[in-house]
Amino acid sequence: MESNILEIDSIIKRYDNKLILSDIYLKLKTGDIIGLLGRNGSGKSTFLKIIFGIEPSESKFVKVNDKVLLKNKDIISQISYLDQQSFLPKNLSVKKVISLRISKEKSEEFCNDNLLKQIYSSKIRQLSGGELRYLEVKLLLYNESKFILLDEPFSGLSPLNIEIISNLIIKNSFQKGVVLTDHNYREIIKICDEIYLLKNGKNYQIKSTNELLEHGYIK
Amino acid sequence: MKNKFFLTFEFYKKLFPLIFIFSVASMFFMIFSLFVFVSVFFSFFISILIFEVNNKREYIFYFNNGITKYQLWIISFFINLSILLILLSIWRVIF
Repeated sequence: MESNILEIDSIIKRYDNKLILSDIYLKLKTGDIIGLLGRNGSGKSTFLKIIFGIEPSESKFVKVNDKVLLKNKDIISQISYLDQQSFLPKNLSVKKVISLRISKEKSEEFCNDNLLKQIYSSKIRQLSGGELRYLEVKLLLYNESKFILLDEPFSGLSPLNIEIISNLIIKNSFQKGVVLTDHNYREIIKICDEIYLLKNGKNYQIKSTNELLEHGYIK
Repeated sequence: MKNKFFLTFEFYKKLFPLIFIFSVASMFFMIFSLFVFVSVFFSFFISILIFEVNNKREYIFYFNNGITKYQLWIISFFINLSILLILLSIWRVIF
Protein backbone atom coordinates (compact mmCIF):
# COMPACT_ATOMS: atom_id res chain seq x y z
CA MET A 1 0.00 0.00 0.00
CA GLU A 2 1.24 3.49 -0.90
CA SER A 3 2.28 5.55 2.10
CA ASN A 4 2.23 9.34 1.94
CA ILE A 5 3.28 12.07 4.33
CA LEU A 6 1.52 15.39 4.77
CA GLU A 7 3.35 18.20 6.56
CA ILE A 8 1.73 21.47 7.43
CA ASP A 9 4.11 24.16 8.60
CA SER A 10 4.36 27.85 9.48
CA ILE A 11 0.66 28.59 9.43
CA ILE A 12 0.07 32.11 10.66
CA LYS A 13 -3.32 33.79 10.70
CA ARG A 14 -4.54 37.06 12.18
CA TYR A 15 -8.02 38.56 12.38
CA ASP A 16 -7.92 42.32 13.00
CA ASN A 17 -4.39 42.12 14.43
CA LYS A 18 -5.40 39.31 16.80
CA LEU A 19 -3.17 36.28 16.31
CA ILE A 20 -5.41 33.24 15.77
CA LEU A 21 -2.82 30.73 14.57
CA SER A 22 0.85 31.16 15.31
CA ASP A 23 3.39 29.03 13.48
CA ILE A 24 1.38 25.79 13.62
CA TYR A 25 3.07 22.56 12.57
CA LEU A 26 1.40 19.21 11.97
CA LYS A 27 2.62 16.01 10.37
CA LEU A 28 0.64 12.92 9.45
CA LYS A 29 1.01 9.90 7.25
CA THR A 30 -1.29 7.43 5.54
CA GLY A 31 -3.27 5.52 8.17
CA ASP A 32 -3.03 8.27 10.83
CA ILE A 33 -6.13 9.77 12.39
CA ILE A 34 -5.25 13.05 14.08
CA GLY A 35 -7.74 14.88 16.25
CA LEU A 36 -7.76 18.63 16.80
CA LEU A 37 -9.51 19.93 19.87
CA GLY A 38 -10.03 23.51 20.96
CA ARG A 39 -12.58 25.89 22.36
CA ASN A 40 -14.94 27.84 20.12
CA GLY A 41 -12.95 30.44 18.22
CA SER A 42 -9.62 28.72 18.83
CA GLY A 43 -9.03 28.48 15.08
CA LYS A 44 -9.67 24.79 14.35
CA SER A 45 -11.91 25.40 11.34
CA THR A 46 -9.74 28.25 10.11
CA PHE A 47 -6.71 25.94 10.30
CA LEU A 48 -8.38 23.31 8.11
CA LYS A 49 -9.65 25.93 5.65
CA ILE A 50 -6.17 27.41 5.32
CA ILE A 51 -4.69 23.99 4.56
CA PHE A 52 -7.37 23.36 1.91
CA GLY A 53 -6.79 26.82 0.40
CA ILE A 54 -10.20 28.39 0.91
CA GLU A 55 -9.04 30.79 3.62
CA PRO A 56 -6.09 33.15 3.12
CA SER A 57 -3.23 33.24 5.63
CA GLU A 58 -0.08 35.28 6.22
CA SER A 59 2.06 32.22 5.79
CA LYS A 60 1.59 28.53 5.06
CA PHE A 61 3.51 25.54 3.81
CA VAL A 62 1.69 22.42 2.77
CA LYS A 63 3.99 19.56 1.79
CA VAL A 64 3.05 16.12 0.50
CA ASN A 65 5.93 13.66 0.31
CA ASP A 66 8.42 16.54 0.72
CA LYS A 67 6.97 18.45 -2.23
CA VAL A 68 5.64 21.91 -1.35
CA LEU A 69 2.18 22.46 -2.80
CA LEU A 70 1.97 26.08 -3.85
CA LYS A 71 -1.05 26.11 -6.12
CA ASN A 72 -4.61 25.41 -5.06
CA LYS A 73 -5.07 22.90 -7.86
CA ASP A 74 -2.18 20.84 -6.47
CA ILE A 75 -3.62 20.96 -2.95
CA ILE A 76 -7.15 19.93 -3.94
CA SER A 77 -5.83 17.06 -6.03
CA GLN A 78 -4.29 15.49 -2.89
CA ILE A 79 -6.45 16.73 -0.02
CA SER A 80 -10.24 16.66 0.48
CA TYR A 81 -12.19 18.74 2.97
CA LEU A 82 -15.46 18.34 4.84
CA ASP A 83 -16.93 21.71 5.70
CA GLN A 84 -18.94 22.28 8.88
CA GLN A 85 -21.99 22.88 6.74
CA SER A 86 -23.27 20.81 3.86
CA PHE A 87 -21.65 21.52 0.50
CA LEU A 88 -23.38 19.03 -1.84
CA PRO A 89 -25.47 20.70 -4.57
CA LYS A 90 -29.06 20.48 -3.35
CA ASN A 91 -30.55 20.08 -6.81
CA LEU A 92 -28.70 16.82 -7.47
CA SER A 93 -29.88 13.36 -6.47
CA VAL A 94 -27.84 11.05 -4.24
CA LYS A 95 -27.51 8.67 -7.20
CA LYS A 96 -26.12 11.46 -9.40
CA VAL A 97 -23.64 12.65 -6.77
CA ILE A 98 -22.37 9.09 -6.31
CA SER A 99 -22.04 8.54 -10.06
CA LEU A 100 -20.09 11.80 -10.41
CA ARG A 101 -17.70 11.13 -7.55
CA ILE A 102 -17.23 7.39 -7.21
CA SER A 103 -15.65 5.26 -9.91
CA LYS A 104 -17.73 2.46 -11.43
CA GLU A 105 -15.46 -0.18 -9.87
CA LYS A 106 -15.99 1.19 -6.35
CA SER A 107 -19.64 2.13 -6.82
CA GLU A 108 -21.12 -1.26 -5.88
CA GLU A 109 -19.05 -1.48 -2.70
CA PHE A 110 -19.85 2.14 -1.88
CA CYS A 111 -23.63 1.69 -2.15
CA ASN A 112 -23.65 -1.61 -0.32
CA ASP A 113 -25.00 -0.32 2.98
CA ASN A 114 -28.51 -0.02 4.36
CA LEU A 115 -28.55 3.74 4.87
CA LEU A 116 -27.38 4.53 1.35
CA LYS A 117 -29.84 2.05 -0.15
CA GLN A 118 -32.66 3.93 1.60
CA ILE A 119 -31.63 7.37 0.33
CA TYR A 120 -30.24 6.36 -3.07
CA SER A 121 -33.10 7.83 -5.11
CA SER A 122 -33.62 10.94 -2.97
CA LYS A 123 -32.55 14.46 -3.79
CA ILE A 124 -29.84 15.99 -1.61
CA ARG A 125 -32.33 18.61 -0.36
CA GLN A 126 -34.60 15.83 0.96
CA LEU A 127 -31.96 14.29 3.25
CA SER A 128 -31.87 14.78 7.00
CA GLY A 129 -28.78 16.30 8.63
CA GLY A 130 -27.53 12.87 9.73
CA GLU A 131 -28.02 11.26 6.31
CA LEU A 132 -26.29 14.18 4.61
CA ARG A 133 -23.32 14.09 6.99
CA TYR A 134 -22.98 10.32 6.52
CA LEU A 135 -23.06 10.66 2.73
CA GLU A 136 -20.53 13.50 2.71
CA VAL A 137 -18.08 11.70 4.99
CA LYS A 138 -18.38 8.46 3.02
CA LEU A 139 -17.87 10.27 -0.30
CA LEU A 140 -14.66 11.83 1.02
CA LEU A 141 -13.39 8.56 2.46
CA TYR A 142 -13.90 6.78 -0.87
CA ASN A 143 -12.41 9.41 -3.16
CA GLU A 144 -8.91 9.37 -4.61
CA SER A 145 -7.31 12.00 -2.36
CA LYS A 146 -4.44 11.05 -0.08
CA PHE A 147 -5.57 13.07 2.93
CA ILE A 148 -8.87 14.29 4.28
CA LEU A 149 -9.74 17.13 6.62
CA LEU A 150 -13.00 16.66 8.52
CA ASP A 151 -14.45 19.70 10.24
CA GLU A 152 -17.00 18.59 12.86
CA PRO A 153 -18.09 15.33 11.22
CA PHE A 154 -20.22 14.47 14.29
CA SER A 155 -21.98 17.81 14.51
CA GLY A 156 -25.72 17.47 15.05
CA LEU A 157 -25.71 13.69 14.84
CA SER A 158 -27.45 11.14 17.04
CA PRO A 159 -25.22 8.76 19.09
CA LEU A 160 -26.02 5.94 16.66
CA ASN A 161 -24.98 8.02 13.63
CA ILE A 162 -21.82 9.15 15.45
CA GLU A 163 -20.88 5.52 15.96
CA ILE A 164 -21.59 4.68 12.31
CA ILE A 165 -19.45 7.59 11.09
CA SER A 166 -16.64 6.80 13.56
CA ASN A 167 -16.53 3.21 12.30
CA LEU A 168 -16.54 4.46 8.72
CA ILE A 169 -13.56 6.74 9.42
CA ILE A 170 -11.60 3.95 11.15
CA LYS A 171 -12.45 1.41 8.44
CA ASN A 172 -11.32 3.64 5.59
CA SER A 173 -8.42 5.47 7.22
CA PHE A 174 -5.88 2.76 6.38
CA GLN A 175 -5.54 4.21 2.88
CA LYS A 176 -5.62 7.89 3.84
CA GLY A 177 -4.41 10.28 6.47
CA VAL A 178 -7.24 11.95 8.38
CA VAL A 179 -7.33 15.19 10.39
CA LEU A 180 -10.56 15.83 12.25
CA THR A 181 -11.91 18.42 14.61
CA ASP A 182 -15.01 18.18 16.73
CA HIS A 183 -16.35 19.31 20.07
CA ASN A 184 -17.23 15.71 20.89
CA TYR A 185 -13.84 15.11 22.54
CA ARG A 186 -14.76 11.65 23.86
CA GLU A 187 -15.33 10.39 20.33
CA ILE A 188 -12.13 12.11 19.15
CA ILE A 189 -10.12 10.44 21.93
CA LYS A 190 -11.71 7.09 21.05
CA ILE A 191 -10.82 7.06 17.35
CA CYS A 192 -7.68 9.22 17.01
CA ASP A 193 -4.05 8.06 17.12
CA GLU A 194 -2.78 11.52 18.09
CA ILE A 195 -4.57 14.46 19.63
CA TYR A 196 -3.64 18.14 19.60
CA LEU A 197 -5.22 21.02 21.44
CA LEU A 198 -5.35 24.42 19.78
CA LYS A 199 -4.99 27.11 22.40
CA ASN A 200 -3.84 30.73 22.14
CA GLY A 201 -2.81 30.14 18.55
CA LYS A 202 -0.51 27.20 19.33
CA ASN A 203 -1.02 23.45 19.12
CA TYR A 204 -0.18 21.25 22.08
CA GLN A 205 0.06 17.49 21.83
CA ILE A 206 -2.28 15.80 24.29
CA LYS A 207 -1.30 12.44 25.77
CA SER A 208 -4.03 12.00 28.37
CA THR A 209 -7.41 13.38 29.40
CA ASN A 210 -5.70 14.98 32.43
CA GLU A 211 -3.79 17.26 30.08
CA LEU A 212 -7.11 18.52 28.70
CA LEU A 213 -8.00 19.41 32.29
CA GLU A 214 -4.68 21.16 32.84
CA HIS A 215 -5.19 23.22 29.70
CA GLY A 216 -8.68 24.17 30.86
CA TYR A 217 -10.40 22.54 27.90
CA ILE A 218 -12.59 20.41 30.16
CA LYS A 219 -13.57 20.70 33.84
CA MET B 1 -11.09 14.17 -17.28
CA LYS B 2 -14.45 12.89 -18.52
CA ASN B 3 -15.81 13.09 -15.01
CA LYS B 4 -14.49 16.64 -14.61
CA PHE B 5 -16.43 17.68 -17.71
CA PHE B 6 -19.67 16.15 -16.40
CA LEU B 7 -19.12 17.80 -13.03
CA THR B 8 -18.54 21.17 -14.68
CA PHE B 9 -21.64 20.62 -16.80
CA GLU B 10 -23.64 20.19 -13.56
CA PHE B 11 -22.21 23.53 -12.43
CA TYR B 12 -23.17 25.11 -15.78
CA LYS B 13 -26.73 23.73 -15.47
CA LYS B 14 -27.12 25.86 -12.35
CA LEU B 15 -26.07 28.97 -14.27
CA PHE B 16 -28.20 28.22 -17.33
CA PRO B 17 -31.70 29.41 -16.21
CA LEU B 18 -30.45 32.94 -15.62
CA ILE B 19 -28.38 32.97 -18.82
CA PHE B 20 -31.50 31.83 -20.71
CA ILE B 21 -33.75 34.49 -19.16
CA PHE B 22 -31.31 37.33 -19.91
CA SER B 23 -30.69 36.07 -23.43
CA VAL B 24 -34.39 35.79 -24.27
CA ALA B 25 -35.02 39.23 -22.76
CA SER B 26 -32.26 40.75 -24.92
CA MET B 27 -33.92 39.32 -28.07
CA PHE B 28 -36.77 41.81 -27.70
CA PHE B 29 -34.40 44.65 -28.65
CA MET B 30 -33.88 42.93 -32.06
CA ILE B 31 -30.17 43.86 -32.07
CA PHE B 32 -28.03 40.85 -32.94
CA SER B 33 -24.78 42.14 -31.40
CA LEU B 34 -26.60 42.97 -28.16
CA PHE B 35 -28.06 39.45 -28.05
CA VAL B 36 -24.60 37.90 -28.52
CA PHE B 37 -23.03 40.18 -25.91
CA VAL B 38 -25.75 39.43 -23.35
CA SER B 39 -25.75 35.67 -24.04
CA VAL B 40 -22.00 35.19 -24.00
CA PHE B 41 -20.73 37.71 -21.48
CA PHE B 42 -23.29 39.69 -19.48
CA SER B 43 -25.66 36.91 -18.44
CA PHE B 44 -22.76 34.55 -17.81
CA PHE B 45 -20.98 36.91 -15.44
CA ILE B 46 -24.19 37.89 -13.66
CA SER B 47 -25.06 34.21 -13.09
CA ILE B 48 -21.53 33.54 -11.76
CA LEU B 49 -21.91 36.52 -9.44
CA ILE B 50 -25.26 35.23 -8.15
CA PHE B 51 -23.79 31.75 -7.65
CA GLU B 52 -20.93 33.34 -5.66
CA VAL B 53 -23.43 35.00 -3.36
CA ASN B 54 -26.03 32.23 -2.99
CA ASN B 55 -24.16 28.96 -3.43
CA LYS B 56 -20.57 29.70 -2.47
CA ARG B 57 -20.32 26.61 -0.27
CA GLU B 58 -21.08 24.34 -3.26
CA TYR B 59 -17.66 25.19 -4.68
CA ILE B 60 -16.24 22.81 -2.03
CA PHE B 61 -18.03 19.95 -3.82
CA TYR B 62 -16.07 20.77 -6.99
CA PHE B 63 -12.79 21.40 -5.12
CA ASN B 64 -13.15 17.95 -3.55
CA ASN B 65 -13.29 16.60 -7.09
CA GLY B 66 -10.06 18.38 -8.01
CA ILE B 67 -11.68 21.21 -9.99
CA THR B 68 -10.67 24.79 -9.16
CA LYS B 69 -12.99 27.76 -9.35
CA TYR B 70 -11.19 29.15 -12.42
CA GLN B 71 -11.43 25.79 -14.21
CA LEU B 72 -15.17 25.76 -13.51
CA TRP B 73 -15.63 29.27 -14.83
CA ILE B 74 -13.50 28.80 -17.95
CA ILE B 75 -15.01 25.45 -18.96
CA SER B 76 -18.54 26.76 -18.27
CA PHE B 77 -17.81 29.83 -20.39
CA PHE B 78 -16.86 27.61 -23.31
CA ILE B 79 -19.88 25.34 -22.79
CA ASN B 80 -22.06 28.46 -22.91
CA LEU B 81 -20.31 29.73 -26.03
CA SER B 82 -20.65 26.33 -27.73
CA ILE B 83 -24.38 26.16 -26.97
CA LEU B 84 -24.87 29.64 -28.43
CA LEU B 85 -22.91 28.75 -31.58
CA ILE B 86 -24.92 25.55 -32.06
CA LEU B 87 -28.20 27.44 -31.61
CA LEU B 88 -27.10 30.16 -34.07
CA SER B 89 -26.11 27.51 -36.63
CA ILE B 90 -29.51 25.83 -36.31
CA TRP B 91 -31.17 29.25 -36.63
CA ARG B 92 -29.28 29.96 -39.88
CA VAL B 93 -30.16 26.56 -41.35
CA ILE B 94 -33.86 26.98 -40.57
CA PHE B 95 -34.22 30.65 -41.56
